[in-house]
Amino acid sequence: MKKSIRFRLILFFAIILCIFGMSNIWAIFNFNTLSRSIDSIMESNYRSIESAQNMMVAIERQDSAILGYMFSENEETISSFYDNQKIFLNWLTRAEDNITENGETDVIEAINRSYDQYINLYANFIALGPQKNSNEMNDYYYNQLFTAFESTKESCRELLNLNQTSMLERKNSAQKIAQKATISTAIVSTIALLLGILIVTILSNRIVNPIKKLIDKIKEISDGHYNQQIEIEGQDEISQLALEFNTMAKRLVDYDKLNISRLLEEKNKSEAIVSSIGDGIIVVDQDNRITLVNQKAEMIFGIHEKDVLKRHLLEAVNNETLFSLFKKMNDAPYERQRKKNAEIAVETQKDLSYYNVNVRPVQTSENRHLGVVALIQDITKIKEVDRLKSDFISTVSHEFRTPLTSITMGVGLLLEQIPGTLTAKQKELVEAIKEDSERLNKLVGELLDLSKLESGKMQMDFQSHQLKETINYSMEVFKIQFEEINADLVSNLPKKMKLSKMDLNKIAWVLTNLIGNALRYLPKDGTGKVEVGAKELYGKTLVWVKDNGAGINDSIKAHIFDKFIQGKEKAGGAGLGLAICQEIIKAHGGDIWVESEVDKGTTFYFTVPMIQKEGDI
Amino acid sequence: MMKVLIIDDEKNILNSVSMYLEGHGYEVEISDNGFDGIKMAKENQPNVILLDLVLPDIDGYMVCKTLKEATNINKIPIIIMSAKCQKEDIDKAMDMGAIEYITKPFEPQKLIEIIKKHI
Repeated sequence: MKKSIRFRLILFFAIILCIFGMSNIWAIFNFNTLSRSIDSIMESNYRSIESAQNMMVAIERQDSAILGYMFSENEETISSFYDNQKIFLNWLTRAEDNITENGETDVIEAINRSYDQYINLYANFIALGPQKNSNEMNDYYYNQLFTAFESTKESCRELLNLNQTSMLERKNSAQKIAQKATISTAIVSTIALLLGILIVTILSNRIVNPIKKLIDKIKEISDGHYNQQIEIEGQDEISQLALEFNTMAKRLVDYDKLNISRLLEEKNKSEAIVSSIGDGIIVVDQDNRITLVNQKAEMIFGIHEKDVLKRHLLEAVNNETLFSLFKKMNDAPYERQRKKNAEIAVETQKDLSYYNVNVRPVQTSENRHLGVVALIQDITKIKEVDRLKSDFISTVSHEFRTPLTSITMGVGLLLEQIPGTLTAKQKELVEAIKEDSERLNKLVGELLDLSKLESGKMQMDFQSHQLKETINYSMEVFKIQFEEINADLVSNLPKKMKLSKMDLNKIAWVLTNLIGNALRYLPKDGTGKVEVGAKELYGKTLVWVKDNGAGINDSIKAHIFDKFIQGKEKAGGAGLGLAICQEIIKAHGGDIWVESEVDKGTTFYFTVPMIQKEGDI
Repeated sequence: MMKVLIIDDEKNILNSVSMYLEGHGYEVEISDNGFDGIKMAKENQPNVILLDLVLPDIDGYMVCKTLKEATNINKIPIIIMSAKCQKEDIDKAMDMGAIEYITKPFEPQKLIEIIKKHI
């Protein structure tokens, strides 16, 4: 049979019921004993006592009847005597039927005998009559009859006493039985109670202990310790539960192992990817402590990931620029204006390398900031190529300048006719040479400027200037040229303008270049118009040069700020002007852009920083 | 007559500039190296010296410095004419005692203007 909890509970209640049943049976038995002893009192003694008392009453009444007869000679008294004789005999018969005590038979025989004598004496007494108050009668009564009466009465009293004594004894015995029954019932009840408690304790422990074990193990599992097994013997429901639990725990362990191996696989894959990326990667947490360094980054900074993990970035890599990038990103990861990249130079024993560092905040999908990741790209070669290009342009343009000088001097000599007079044809030729040498000179100058701007060698002289004045000055330069083609040059400037932070000459150069460009493409029929304007825009000064010229088509517009780009008509210039404009504006921290529509006109816009307060450069 | 000393290693420049200046009435002496230039300056005491920075022996800065340190000729104005146009080149030349700096190429008339300014 299965020892299930259900079975155990039923068994337990059955045992309890049995115990209480037994204790009840015991109590019933005791009540029966008690009741029997009470009955025996009733049966054994009560009737005899009742008989004795009634016999005494009857005989006393007979005695009274005799006395009545003696003094009143009333015949009625005689009938009373006989009536009571019947009553007496009746009770005597009952007493004879209920002989229960030792000596009771003798007493009853004595009663019989003395009453017989009393009756006989009475007959003799009646035979004496009817002489009233005769002395003989008195004597007979007192000497014979009364004595028999007393003797009978005495025997009756004796029967009474005998039975009363016996009744007392039986009562005492019943009391003892009752006491015994009380004690034994109490004992049995106590034993039953104790047994019940014992069984409840054992049974509840048997049921609850395995559940407790199970709870502990389940807690362990919920804490992530899957390797749990419960040893529970038996075949009850808890054991089955434990068995299922063990199976589940085993499966969890297997699943966990599988997950871990999958995670490990993924981790290895990610690590392999990260380490094989050709650029350096460094990841730091919010406190700028290193959490990842890939192979390339190890090579760049001559460090090992295992040595620098959890250490502060500055401890591992002594590069202020790099650290400041990380720190600023960590301090304000959501700031839009934050600097996201910088160039750093890393000097090793062998050589000097340059890297472009790009930093990005590391964020969870819930936008929680975890740290900063940096991608470190080797730009040494790009820098080198850039430097070579700059050097090349610089050298080339320099080498151009020397022969240009003698050409210019020679042309000057010829035009001033110092070596001799020129014919008109010769003069025309020399004028052409002068014009082209000037163009060549301008080109060389622009190339050199551009190379300087691009390599950052161009020195900027930022001062606070009133841009309005610069615009007016630049427009003044073109006054005559606009008048020549009957075109309008108008300004659209606010009455008051804040000062701008700029290099005066460079911005003037930009303005004259833009106005010159506009002039070049203006219609020559007198409808041409150029507007130069400025206004404040988001804390910067926005400047525009708007014309109603030919416009620029989209394919050219996309490359308008590239080098050597010109409008559709060849209109002189090397096509470097806008590239230089762009570099100058970039160096100012501004933007330059163009809007144009073919046959309607073109507008160039640029911005320069505005000074909000005096002396704030 | 005003005397001009030109020190430049480029033959064509020496020729064209001297021809131009002679055409404008100057007496011109030329040297295609630094040492000879210094020597000629000491000997001939020109009114103005036109000096290139890139020279085969000692560079223009050294020539300028030497001339400015020599007692009898240190008052002669020295005009640098060079293809170098970096600010640091100009600053260095001015530190060495040059009075003016013109970058090559330049307009012939501008050269005359500058010379006239300093004589």
